[in-house]
Amino acid sequence: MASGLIAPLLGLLYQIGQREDSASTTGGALARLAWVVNKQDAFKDKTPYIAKSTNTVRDSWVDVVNITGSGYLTSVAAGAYDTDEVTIGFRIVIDGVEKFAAGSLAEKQFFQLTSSYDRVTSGFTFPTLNMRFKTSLRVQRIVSCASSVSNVCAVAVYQLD
Amino acid sequence: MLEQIGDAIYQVEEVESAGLVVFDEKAGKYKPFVHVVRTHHCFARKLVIEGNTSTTINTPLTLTVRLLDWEGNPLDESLEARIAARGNTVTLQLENGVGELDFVSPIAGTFKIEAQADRCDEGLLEVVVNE
Repeated sequence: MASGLIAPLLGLLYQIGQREDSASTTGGALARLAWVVNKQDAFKDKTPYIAKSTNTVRDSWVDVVNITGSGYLTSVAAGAYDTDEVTIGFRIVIDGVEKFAAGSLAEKQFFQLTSSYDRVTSGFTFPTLNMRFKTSLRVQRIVSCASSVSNVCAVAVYQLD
Repeated sequence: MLEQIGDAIYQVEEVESAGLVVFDEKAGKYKPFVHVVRTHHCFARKLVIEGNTSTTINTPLTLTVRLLDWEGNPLDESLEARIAARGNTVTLQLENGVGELDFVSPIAGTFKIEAQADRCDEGLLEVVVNE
């Protein structure tokens, strides 16, 4: 019984002393973060979540997900179904710092669909990112098309601590 | 819970951490850290298309495009909207949140008409053109 209580407590105190990015260094006295070292710290044990945006607005950045917290961005993906060629780009902001933004056509093609003369169709792809975020995560998408986009979907797969 | 930030409405979800805790000075104990997850719900503005949903070949069908807020209240703004059907797009200037156009088709069929503008949810209307 006693060891069951002490072990997690030791882990708690150890981490309070070790972590330099605890909230007490950035915020007020109220926010003292501590990291409990247990099995939930393992990446593989975290619960995956999927945020989805099916908004068809063109040529504007649209948030797929905007998180205050910590965890991992696992992957992003997009798909579209339209009579015109559709280009989709992503912007990834980790802890307030832009890590990637599709600016040029080549960059957008990294996540882009292929097109055919008649109709664009694509399934999802899930490039593995596993990007760590400590305080915030923001994933946005931008869609370009010659005319209105009928169907578009962008997703972000993430895990929270 | 929905929250407006700028010109977008977000679905806000609070997710308690499974392993991360924060010290609550008032309570004098640790409590689970709460992640705040915002996902795009809709834009603060939207377009709607009003009009009959059927017509005949070469018969003009008058459609009205309105600019509303996300809860359906009329907005008194000027806006350039793109109206598209089967890959054909025209530009419609909305004055005081309203614009009209005539839809004419030389062929029969079902047409999905879309009204779009930047940072604005689109309006959709399906029109059947009969012989």
